[in-house]
Amino acid sequence: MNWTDEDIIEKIKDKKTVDYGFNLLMEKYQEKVYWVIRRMVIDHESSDDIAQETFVKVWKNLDKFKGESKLYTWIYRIATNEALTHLRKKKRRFFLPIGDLENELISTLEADTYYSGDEIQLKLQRAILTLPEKQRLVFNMKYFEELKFREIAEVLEVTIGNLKAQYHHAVKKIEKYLKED
Amino acid sequence: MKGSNNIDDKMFDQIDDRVVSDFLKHSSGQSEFKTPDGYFDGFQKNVQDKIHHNKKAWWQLPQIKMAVSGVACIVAILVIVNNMASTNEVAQYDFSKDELIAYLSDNIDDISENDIIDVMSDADLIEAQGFGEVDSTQVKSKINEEVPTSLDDISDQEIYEYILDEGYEDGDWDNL
Repeated sequence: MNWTDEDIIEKIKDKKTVDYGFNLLMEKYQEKVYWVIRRMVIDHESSDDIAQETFVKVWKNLDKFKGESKLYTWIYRIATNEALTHLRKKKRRFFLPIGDLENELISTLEADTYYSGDEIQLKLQRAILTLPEKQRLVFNMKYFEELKFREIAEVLEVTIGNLKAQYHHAVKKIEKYLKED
Repeated sequence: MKGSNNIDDKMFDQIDDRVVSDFLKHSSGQSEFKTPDGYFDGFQKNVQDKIHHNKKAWWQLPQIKMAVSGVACIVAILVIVNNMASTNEVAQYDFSKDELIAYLSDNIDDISENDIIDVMSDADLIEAQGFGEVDSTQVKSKINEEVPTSLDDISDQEIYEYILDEGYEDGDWDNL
């Protein structure tokens, strides 16, 4: 059965079915959440930790979810915040300047046993990793996750105009990288 | 209005996405990121385990922790203050007689008689002045009477006698 967000919320709000509702929520969003995180932090182990932590946070804050935003928006927001926090911590932990985080992620990608991209895909990933974090996030959500600008705008709490500009800049930078390299 | 926005969105998407799609058309087209086999099958169980592992006993609740920390801080402060008070007490009386004499000998010029009288006990004052058992305020006032406060209180005769006692001759006075 394909559960709607409304059905899931209803189950979660009822104390008798809260566990069942939460399992439905995980079933529906676990892969989407994982892939948004994975494309940001690159390696599987970190992505697994962050995805699990995202759902633990969702569970802990279920009573705070008032339904003012959509369920998927709320979950994606927690996931993207967790991923960005992880990257910032990584930068601080290794005292990495901005450019070095990009190199670090490229090395991680090339060494990751769970990455099997061909030369063209690897080149595109290298180009994407040159983008600033927020642009990378916007590009991944739009291009790979195929979210709409309106949905991304709700998740990141920015205007659609701002998002389109960021996406456009991201594509231009990737294009430039692909042509130069 | 909404319709026109959708048209803009589609045109915008097509223009931008084409750049990447054109580039990727020569790739294998398979998803390049992988996960371990059956990863998503066990995902929910892992999250549930984490949630139940993180469930805290009542003594691990933040409110309880804060209350216990607060009480511990207050107890620690009381112990420290108490220790400091007793340390000062010990310090006040923890000098040997020789140390006191040595200190007073070195600093006698900086200590006025009034300072000494102020800190002496009644018994010491009585003993020092050879008085019998009298009220300490009387002793202090008596001593204060005997200690001239200015040169005006000393007569010429007293000065003259003092100088002679010190061994000065008449002719030396002008050189004083």
